[in-house]
Amino acid sequence: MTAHCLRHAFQAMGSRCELLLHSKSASDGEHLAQAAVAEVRRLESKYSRYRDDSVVSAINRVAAELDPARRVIDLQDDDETCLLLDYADTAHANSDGLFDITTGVYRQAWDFSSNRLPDAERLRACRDRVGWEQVRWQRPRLRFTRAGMELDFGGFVKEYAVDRVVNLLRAGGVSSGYVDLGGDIGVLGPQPDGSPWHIGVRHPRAPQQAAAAVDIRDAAIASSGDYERFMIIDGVRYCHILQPATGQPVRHFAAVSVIAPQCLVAGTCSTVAMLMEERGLAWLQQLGLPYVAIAQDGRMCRG
Amino acid sequence: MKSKKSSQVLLCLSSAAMALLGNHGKALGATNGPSTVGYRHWNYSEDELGGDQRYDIAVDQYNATVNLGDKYSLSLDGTLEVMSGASPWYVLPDATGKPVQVMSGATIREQRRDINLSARRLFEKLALNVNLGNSTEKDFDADYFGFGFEQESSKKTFTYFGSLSASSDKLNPSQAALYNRVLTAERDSRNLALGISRVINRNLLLSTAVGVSTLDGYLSDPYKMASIVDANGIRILTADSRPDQRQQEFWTVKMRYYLGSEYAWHLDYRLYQDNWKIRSHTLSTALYKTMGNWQVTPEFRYYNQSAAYFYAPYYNGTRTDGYHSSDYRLSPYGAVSSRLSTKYTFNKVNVNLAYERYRSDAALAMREVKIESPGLVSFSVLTLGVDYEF
Repeated sequence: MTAHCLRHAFQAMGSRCELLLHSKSASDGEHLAQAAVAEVRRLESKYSRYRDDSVVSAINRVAAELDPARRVIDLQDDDETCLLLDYADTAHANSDGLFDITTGVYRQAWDFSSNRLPDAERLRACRDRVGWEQVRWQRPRLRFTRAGMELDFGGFVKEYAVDRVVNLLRAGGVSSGYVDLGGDIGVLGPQPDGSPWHIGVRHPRAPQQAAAAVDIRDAAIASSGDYERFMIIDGVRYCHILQPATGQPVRHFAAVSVIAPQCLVAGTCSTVAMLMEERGLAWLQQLGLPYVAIAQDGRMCRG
Repeated sequence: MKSKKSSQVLLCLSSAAMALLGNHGKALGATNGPSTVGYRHWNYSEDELGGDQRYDIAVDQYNATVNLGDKYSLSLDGTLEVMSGASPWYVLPDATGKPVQVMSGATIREQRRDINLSARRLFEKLALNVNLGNSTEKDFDADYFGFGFEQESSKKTFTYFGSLSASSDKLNPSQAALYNRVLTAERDSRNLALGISRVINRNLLLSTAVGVSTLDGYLSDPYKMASIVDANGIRILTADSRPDQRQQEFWTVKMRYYLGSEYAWHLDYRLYQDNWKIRSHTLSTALYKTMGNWQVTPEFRYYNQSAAYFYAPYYNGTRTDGYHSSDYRLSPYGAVSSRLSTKYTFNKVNVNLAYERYRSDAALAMREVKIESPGLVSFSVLTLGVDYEF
């Protein structure tokens, strides 16, 4: 019954995005693709740090208040944000504090376009304002114990958007297709001929090439890597994935990709594995999800 | 990270992700699910009673659900049942006063056809459905209709649901003249149920409902008799005779506990009572375990009921109100039922296989039963089903 194939590329969330879907009719496909793009744009504007009218900006304005009594925001009317915060809270609790949506503050110290290491004093000042444990999240109230903290949903909203679009397409009757938001990919079903989707895992040192390929159906793959934003100083690579406790970049893995039923879970696990550094491989193995991990020295491990 | 903890990590993350992505049931505001066609075959087989074969029922059930756009869907269900075997007729005391079940002599072979058409309309936070149906046997004809709604609260924390239904039944018992059965009879029923469910947190959903039913008309069983002792002191058989009005009430509480994407635990309780003084308690639990394309569900149910006020296995006189029934379904008893079902999904096909074993016994009742009904039933049900989504 899946007769029509539609491929639609667009730019969103700072990435190149692509949809491919097999639908009952061409108009169904176009209608669903439009709805999918609209959903991605909705999440982009709702959780963008760069938009004054976004939820994240509203939260961060409250976090900047000097008066502790005013550093509280009530999110009672926003179930989605409450659930995202619940998720971030769960991920923090289950990663020894490594998954932390407050680390965005370190951007004030690190400028990856400057080719200069951050000022040590500045980094220390940032460190005081990082740490989810300093945020009191009691649904629906969010309270910041320190002024000048920041929340950044960038670490998981793209993966959440993949899952949302997958659900939207599935509800619209799409049984085969994929959603690729800048390398975070959710697939629906197998391909129409019944074979699994063959997804390439980006090579961290040659991002236009695949380092490996995985076969998946009705699942998602998300990747974290040191190749997105970085600078090399004296032969040392400094990437944008920063340890919440120290503000220092990760050094062990070049990239980690994880496959999970939800892209959100895949993305969280790949980020946490990067942050675990040497312990990351053992953690991935215990987790039991399929993965591809590439170390800085190019060694690849699959599980 | 300690290795002991890591097995829980995935479970916690998956649960939180599912809460976020709304996997706790399909959101009402969403569009319809896929259209489906399905077939189920049930083989219901009652255990023999005193060497007599009881009912065997083979059920073929067909279903088609078709979406008409995003917001409407139509469903057509057809059922064909073929029943054969003997059923409990009346009870006599033996020389020691122990009740002995007498089965209907003739092996009954009956067919029942049921057809039900339902339509569903989805709104932003509201779903409405209506259904209309007919059930026909050689000696029985019933028309029924129902209306139901589900309404989500603005924050989707609460769901309110309810239903209203009614049915009108006509009976034309077979061999009525030969066995002095009622020639024709009618009965009507009306049912109302209202409930509320609440998402407590990302793992837990609680739901409760209350309902009332009223039945009027001929509520006796024309194929059963009761053994009484008449004014002359002679034991005779008389037609099963029950009040012509029955008021039923129920209350249910349901718990759904989700553990990651792999486990769902259901725990349900139901309290029922009616003005025939039957009160029953049902406690059931099920664990849904998903493993890749497979889902396995073990279920267990306990049931207990007290007797109707006019029930007796046999009578040593006559009741002044004229009501006499020795139907085992009105007797005090307890029952346990175990069921194991599996579902395998590939591409767009679901295959279901289930086996259930049910046993009723006065010894399973919560309170001591002085004289057990000799007609209590135990049965097995084997189900095979296939659904296709398109």
